[in-house]
Amino acid sequence: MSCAEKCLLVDLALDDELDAAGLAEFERHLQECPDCAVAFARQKALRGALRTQMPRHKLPSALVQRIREALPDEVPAPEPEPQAAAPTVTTVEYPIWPSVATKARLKLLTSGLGGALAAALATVWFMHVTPEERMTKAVVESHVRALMSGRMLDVASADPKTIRPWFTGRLDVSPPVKDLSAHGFELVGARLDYIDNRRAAALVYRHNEHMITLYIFATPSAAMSESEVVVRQGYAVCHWSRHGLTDWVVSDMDPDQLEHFEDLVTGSV
Amino acid sequence: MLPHLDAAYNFARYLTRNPDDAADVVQEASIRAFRFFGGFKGGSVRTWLLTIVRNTAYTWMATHRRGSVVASVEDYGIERPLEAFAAVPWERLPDDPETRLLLAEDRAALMDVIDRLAPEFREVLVLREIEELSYREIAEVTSVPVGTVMSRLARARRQVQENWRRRVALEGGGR
Repeated sequence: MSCAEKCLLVDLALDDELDAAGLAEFERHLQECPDCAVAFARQKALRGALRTQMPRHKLPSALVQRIREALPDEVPAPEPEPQAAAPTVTTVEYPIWPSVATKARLKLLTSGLGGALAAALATVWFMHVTPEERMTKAVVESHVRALMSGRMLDVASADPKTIRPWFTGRLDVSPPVKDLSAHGFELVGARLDYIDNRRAAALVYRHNEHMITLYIFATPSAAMSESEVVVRQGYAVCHWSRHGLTDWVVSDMDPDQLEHFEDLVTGSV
Repeated sequence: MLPHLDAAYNFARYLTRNPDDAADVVQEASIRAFRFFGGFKGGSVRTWLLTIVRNTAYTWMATHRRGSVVASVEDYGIERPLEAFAAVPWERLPDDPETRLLLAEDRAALMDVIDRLAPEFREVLVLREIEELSYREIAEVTSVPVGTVMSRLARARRQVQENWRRRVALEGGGR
């Protein structure tokens, strides 16, 4: 026989909605009611599963652009009042400044609101890190983490014929794996990685003393593209998309060498 | 970063269950939020934005998917006494929830269970477990009393537990 009235308490306790007295009473109740104790344990397990497993969908970058373009251009501007207490929004880590027109609108909004409030809303528009910047950071972090933890590989092999089938069932694409040993890039192995809420094949190559991680993502709708090599935290990073796949490469090699590696992988040499 | 618009988009995804619809909803909601700033009465910006997203989503779905989406609790046949959801064993999961749920198909299955919840249940679950809003904030976003939030959340959870258990049972206890 379950304890229907207390069942709601299980949820309230789980959601931090009980005050101290209520929580104490609930805890006493758990001691004497195995049904509720079990229910509470299950609810906690469910919470853990939901919070770790429910996808958090990120705003697509194309949509940010669309929204900016869709915003009205002509807004009659009232006299902006100086907001003495307004915190500045110039201290964000990677501000990508919006257009002048948008800035004007933000100023307009600022004038109509309490400063802190307007600043809070403004961060909605200002604190946008481009997806490219975010991915660059994510792949560098993944590469460094793998190096530091020593967990570079799930499968160690220099043979593409071993590595490629290993991803079957682990990824929704079969990543192309190239043997580039003739060019001085030795295939070491691969692992499955999880970056920016997506699964990726991470192929690990070695060039002299340098480790290279080549991440391959399935991106069915990505247009053909190719980036410049950028250097972040001492690591050279570049990426490109072709045939429904997007590759990101991270290494401590020189940018020139990384470009050479890219050419070898994409087959343009 | 971009926390509020990410939250807005995520919420719209769960409401519409479709990336294209979610994009349209977020775009429209953002424009509304931007234009009708006067309606903002203070409090949490995120809650306010989520309220606009929700209203936009339901309006949008009612016009674009005539009759198919704004189904009521009754339509989903889950208006049952709370006891029906009680004492559902969270099979297998207590043993090793992490290993089990890390498997991709299980994640997809869980998502499917969540997608099949009635919208009233799905939205409170997302607002609570992803956005981590309080009951009061959820009540604000969904325009219902706190007591209703409480009972919907409790039912949503029991519904997920039950449907998950049923799905696991259907799989025949393989693995």
